[in-house]
Formats: sequence, C-alpha cells, structure tokens
Amino acid sequence: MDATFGVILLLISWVCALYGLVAALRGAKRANTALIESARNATIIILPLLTVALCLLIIQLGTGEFGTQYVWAVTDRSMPTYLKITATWGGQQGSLLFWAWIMAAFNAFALLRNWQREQHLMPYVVATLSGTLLFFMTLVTFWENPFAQFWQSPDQSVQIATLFGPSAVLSAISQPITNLANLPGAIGIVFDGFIPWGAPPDYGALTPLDGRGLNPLLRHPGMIIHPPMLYIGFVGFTIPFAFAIAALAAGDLTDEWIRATRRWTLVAWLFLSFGLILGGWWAYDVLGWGGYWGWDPVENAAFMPWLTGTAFLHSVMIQEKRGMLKRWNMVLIILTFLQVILGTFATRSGFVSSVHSFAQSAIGPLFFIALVVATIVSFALLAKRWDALKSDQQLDGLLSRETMFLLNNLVFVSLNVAIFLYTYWPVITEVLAESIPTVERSSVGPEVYEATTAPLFLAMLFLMGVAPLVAWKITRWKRLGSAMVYPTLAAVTLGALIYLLGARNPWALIGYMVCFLVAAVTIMEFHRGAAARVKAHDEHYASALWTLITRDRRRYGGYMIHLGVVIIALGIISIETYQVETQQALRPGQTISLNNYVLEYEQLERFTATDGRDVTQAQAVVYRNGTEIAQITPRIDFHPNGQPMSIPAKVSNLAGDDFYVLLIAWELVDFSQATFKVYYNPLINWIWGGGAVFALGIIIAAWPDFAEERRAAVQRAAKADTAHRNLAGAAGD
Amino acid sequence: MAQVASRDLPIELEENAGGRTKFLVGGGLLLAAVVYLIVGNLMNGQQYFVTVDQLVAGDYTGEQVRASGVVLGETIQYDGETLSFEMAHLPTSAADIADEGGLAEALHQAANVQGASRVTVVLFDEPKPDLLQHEAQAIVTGYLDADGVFYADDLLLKCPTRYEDALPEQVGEALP
Repeated sequence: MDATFGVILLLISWVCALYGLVAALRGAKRANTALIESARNATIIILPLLTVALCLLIIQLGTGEFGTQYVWAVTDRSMPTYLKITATWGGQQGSLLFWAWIMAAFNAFALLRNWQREQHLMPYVVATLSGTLLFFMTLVTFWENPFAQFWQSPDQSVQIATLFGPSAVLSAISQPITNLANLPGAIGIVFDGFIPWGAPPDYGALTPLDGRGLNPLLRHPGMIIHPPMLYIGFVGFTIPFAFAIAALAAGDLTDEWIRATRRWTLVAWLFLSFGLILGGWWAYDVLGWGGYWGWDPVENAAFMPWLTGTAFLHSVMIQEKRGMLKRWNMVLIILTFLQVILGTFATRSGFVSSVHSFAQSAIGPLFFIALVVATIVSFALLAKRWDALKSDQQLDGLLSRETMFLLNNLVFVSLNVAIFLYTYWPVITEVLAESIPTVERSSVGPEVYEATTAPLFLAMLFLMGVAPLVAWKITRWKRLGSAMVYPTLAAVTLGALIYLLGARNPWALIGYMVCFLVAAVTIMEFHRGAAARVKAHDEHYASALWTLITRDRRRYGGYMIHLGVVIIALGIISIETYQVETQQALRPGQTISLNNYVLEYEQLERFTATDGRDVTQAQAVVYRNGTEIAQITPRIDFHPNGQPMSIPAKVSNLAGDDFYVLLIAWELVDFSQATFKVYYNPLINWIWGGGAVFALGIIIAAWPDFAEERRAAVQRAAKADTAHRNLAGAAGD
Repeated sequence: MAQVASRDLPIELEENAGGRTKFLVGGGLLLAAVVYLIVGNLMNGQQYFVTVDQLVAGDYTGEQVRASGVVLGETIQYDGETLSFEMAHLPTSAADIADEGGLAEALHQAANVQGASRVTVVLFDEPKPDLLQHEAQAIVTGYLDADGVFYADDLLLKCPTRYEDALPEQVGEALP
C-alpha cells in the first residue's frame, strides 16, 4: 500500500475531529440532539481510521519502505522485526501518530461507555475530546506527517513532502486552475506510483536502499512498553479533564463528573505510574550510570502530571464525602492536563534540553498556542462557575481525615512546584537575563532536587501512615495516639534491629522507621477488617480477607498502593544512602572487591553483531563470599555512526541487591587491560517489585464492579431526574 | 516537616469561631516552610552557566559553575589518569546556535574562530570518553582555579549525530 493512503486517512481523521468540535459546540448551543450525536459519531469514527493508518505505518516499517521518510529515519534492514515495529514510537512523527491513535481509542471508548449515563455533559465532553484530538491531528497531518515521502527533483535535490504539504495547499489555493489539471492524479491516489498533487510533474519518488536505523539508545526491550505506557497515562487524563470542562460548561457542578471518570482517572494513573517505573528500569538497565532517576527534564515532565494527578485522586474523596474542595479539584485536573501538554511541548520542541529530546522541530510554537488556548478556556470556565463551586461544608477539626488530605495535597503540590521551578529554571533565568542585567543564567543539579524532595517525600510517607487512622470530621488526639501505639512500637523495634545490623545514617533510619510505620498501619487495617468479618460472619480468615478487599476495592486497593509505595521507598532510601562504587583498571586475572563481592576479569573480546554493532565485551567472573556465582559480560556497543553505549551486567541476590558492573574503557595498545566501574546497589530490585504491588493495587481499585454499577445507575437516574427538575426550575427563574 | 509543624499548632478540639484562623495560621506556617525549603535550596544550589569568555574574564574564578565550550581536538591529552583538553568559546544562546545553522555548524564555526578565548580543562581519574573529539560541545561542571585551569568533576559531551539529519546522505538511488 502506498504511504499516500496514510496521508488521506490522516486528512479524513483531521476533518472528522474538526467536525466533531464544531458540531458538538453548535449542537450544545441549539440543544440539537441529532447534531450532538453526529459529532459523537465523527469522534468515534476516527478510531478505525487511525487504526488503519497506524497499521499501514507498522507494515511500512516492517517491510522497509524507505521511500517514506519516517521509515528511513527509524529503521534499517539489519534491525530485528520487533524493533522495526516498536520504531513506530521511536521518532517524532510516529510517536505523534501513536499518541493520536491512543487518544482516539480513549475518546471512542469513553463516549460509548458514558453516553447514556452523563448525557447532559456529553456535548461538551465531545467538544473537549475532539478539540484536543484536533490539535494532535493538525500536528500529525500538516507538520509531522509520518507518511511524508522523499521526492527527487530533476536537479537531483531531495525534498520531503506529503500529498498535501502546507506549501502544496497554499499553491493549490493560489493556482486553482493549474491544479485542476492534476485532478486525475488526485483521484488516482489510492494506486501506487503517481506524482503527488501539488508537486511539479517532473519530480520522481526516491527510495533509499537502506534506512538510517533506530537511535541505539532506543534498542532495548524496555522501549517496547515504556513509551506506550507513558502515552496511555498522559492521554488518559484527557478524559477526566474533558468531563471537568463539560461540568463547568454545562453548569452541572455536582460531583457527577468525578464519579463518571473515577475509573478513567485510575487507568490513566496506572499507566503513567507504570510508565515512570519502567522508565527508571530502562535507565538503570541501559544508560549505564548506576542510577535509575536523574531528574532529567523529560522524566520530570512525566512526573509532574503524575503529582497533580495523585493529589487529584486523593482530594476528590473529600468532595465525594463532604462536598468540599470543588474548586481545588477543578484546578488540579486542569493543571494535570496542562502539564501533560506542557511536558510534551517542552520535550518535543527542544525548549528544555534533555537526553530524551527529539530533534528540534517546528511544532514548538504550535504547542505553545495550544497551551495558551487550553489555559484560557479552562480558567475562564472555572472563573465563570467560581461562586457556584462553593464548598457545601466547612472544615471541622484540626485533626480530621479532611486535613490529612489537605496536607497530602500540600505535599504533592509543593513537590510539583519545586520540580517545575527547578526544571524550567534554566529557561526562566535565560529569559530574565535578557532583560535584567543582574540575573545570570543558571541551572539546578540533582542535589538540589534531592535536598528539597527528600523531606517532602518523607512527609508524604508519614501522612500515609497516619491518615488511615484519622476519622472524617474530627478525631481526638488521644484516640489517634492509642491507635498509633502498636504501629509505632513495630516501627521502632524494626528500626532498632536495622541499627544493630549496621545502618547508622540517621536520615535513612528515620526513613526506614516511617516506612515500617506505614506498613504496620496498613497491614493492621487489613487485619482489623478481616478479623471483624471473621467474628461477625464466622468466616475463615483468608476468605474474610478476600471478601473485605472485593467489597471495598477502592479502599483496600488504595492500601495496597500504599504498601507498594513503602516497598519502593525502602529501595530508594537504601540505594540513595548505601550505594557504593569503585573504579579500577584490570589486567586479566586481576580482581576488584566490593562488599562481599569479587569481580575477576578474564579477557576481552571484540566482534561485530548481526545488526552491525561493533561489540567490545569483557568476560568476568563474580564471586560472593568466595564462591563463584556468575559469569558476566559487560560490554560497550558501537553503533555505526551512533554513540558508544556501555551496557551493564548485573548479578542480583535474594535480598534484591545488585552487583552492577560497567565496562568503561580498555587499552587499545595491547588490548588486554580493561577499566571497570562497579556498583553495589542495595535493595534496588525493591523499586521494581514495589512497582508491581503498586500496579496490582491500582488494578484492584479500578476493577469494575458490575453489581455496584447497576445500583449506581439506578441512583443516578433518580438523581438526574431531580437535577433536571432543579435545572428547569433555575432556568425558569 | 509537615508533621512537625502541625504538631506545633495549638491543639483545640472544640468547634469555635476561631476555627478558621487556626487553619489559616497553620496553613500559612506550613506554606512558609515549604517556600523556604524550595527557594532556599534553589538559591544555595544553583550552578551558573557560563561561557569560556566569561571564565577567561575572571568573574567566576573559584566558584562552582557549569561551563560550555567547543573541544579543540589536537589539545586532548590522556595518560590513563589525568585527562586534559582545551575548549574554545561557544555562544550559549539557542538563538545564536540556530542563527549559525544548527549545533554542528555552530560548533564548527566556533572551533575555527581565530583568537577566540580558550580554557584548559582537567579531569582526574576518569576514563577518556569516546565522544571527546574535535568540535564536540563540552559541558563541564567544576571551578576555574587561580592558575587558569578549569578543574572539572563532570564532563558532558554533545556531538551532532546523524540521527538529527532529515535527509539521506546519498541521492541517486531513485527507483524508476
């Protein structure tokens, strides 16, 4: 199939998104149900259109259609098939199409699932969703088209053009009569081998014999799932955002929009969390610097919406339970969405330099415009409903679940503000330096991030330990104190044990004890609930626990997530305070010792891999307590014309510690001496394990409960009835 | 720190008219603490980003900074322990680099300016990175000593790779 077919699919999708936006807004204004339904259908139909386009791109990547510029840019003949397929998101154009496709899928499923239930919100939901998709479709169709092809002019210069590149459109407008002559060509677009409309007729298609190949950094199994996870997470937050905007626009300021989107928010959050953890795993496994998180602008860009999203997930509970914080929740979901767009913008445009940045591109200004439009529309709507979003109630006690959630929000938002300020500090100082001579350009290193976020993370952990024990409205300090006795005892005992085992860093000890406190409180919550069921229903303990979790998935899924966080935190505290490293040049037979591990270097070998890499590989043996436990081969890959990459080798133990070895240099002269950097990373694998528990918790919390849904549907019907009557009454005033 | 501050607040449980003030005072204190934490760390820890011209002018001698320049290939020396090279002034603003036709072109031009200011960079106990080559952009973190040598503890290198080009190098493989 021809890439031109892809261009046409994109163009039709773009038209559908535009129609969806316009028709939904007009339909809402005129209360025209037929128009609104047709807007919905236009939005839904984009999914099959983009699915075909995406399949076409994947086929082109798989079969090596190098005449398509994107295929040439991210694949070559020697790459394995799975990498050719994952190259779909290995570059700018492909990842934007992939992004748009995920958004189309979310849009279609959200509209189908929620259509009946939240009908009054739907016109604006459709408008927001198709408006957002329209923006991405504009980028992917007119600016970053993955189906753009190489064309060669008679003077042998090469150009990249799609069927209707912006210049071709302009020339089509200015030369309508000339272009009429090209119409047969335009009709023949579904067939192979014709000249694109708008290109001079003596241009010929150009098909390079081989592609350039995927950036070596992206040739890793982690890259198969990390970007899609992040994209799904990013895009997923569009659904709650659309419902929030719809609630503001429609003036339905009940917490209907929150209930309607709770699971969508959880799904988005699940994927974003998972994407972040996978990104850390990829960095640890591939980037070869012994770390997993470097406060890189792109990591931060993905982390910031996660922070506001997490704050949102917690603070909506106050709105649902007490009718408070309505304005704040709107602000949080709007900020989450804006940070998704800002993050994409910042990393796509070269606005902030980063190891992840795609090559600089013209789409920066477009993102900026979209960001400004989204900000103005969202906050104008919020301002319009500001008074109507008043809290139903006031805070009662200083010590209450509400204040715990408020403190939680304070911590998450503070983290967000700090990371935002630090990430964009080089940009801020650069802009200021241009107008104010006393300001100098500066940047912020990881130490600054760590110094600020460590106490905030500790506060977050502490709140996780205390909040579940604090009741709504008001709790007496004494009551909280007595509930805390056993968990505190457990935490202090375990802390003392760790001290005796040799941990002396006071900050690490405080961190460990807070982790144990949270774990104890959380496990006690499970136990208390299960024990009560055993007593009341005479159940077996295990089945009581199971029923407990399935009856209140949201609550116990939430606790499971807390346990996951504790496990991750234990890993992070350990590696941050007790990581040790050493570096040494070795001759064959020499060794490096680190803790109870010994690395013995045997020999160096060099070969060319099937995909064209030049590999220099060291063979070494690892001993633990004097016993041989593994043969490892840390290596350096030279991709032709790429950067050399040090690929680590590691050995894990049962506790989850890693002995992590990097080959960093070798002597060219006699080709036998090699320099190794060796890390001992305590409990690093707890981060990945905790991530799995975390994800399981979200799945439990988000799992659909069909019986509950039926009950809720009945309630909603009754409520909607009242709401409609109220609205009718209000309109009559 | 949030928990420390909240414990300092007056412990009152009665519902009273002063309830709001209580929350405002507590919230205000916490907010102030957080702002202090965020801004204080930023002011203490920020690293100024300077050019070779600025280093040579002597304004930053002894201060921990990040400096950027273009590597001059013939000056690279490595004896297995000490790595040293000279780097020449490179304009830092993105606009300048764009004006000069992208990073590769900007680096090429900067390396060939006659009489451009230069500084010697020294690193200890580091392997020689493969990217350290003529006309690479070096970003070093460290300080300029009074002897005019920049002692770096971190070296980042940027080379324009072919992954930035949009067009194939060779033309003429067009199929009929």
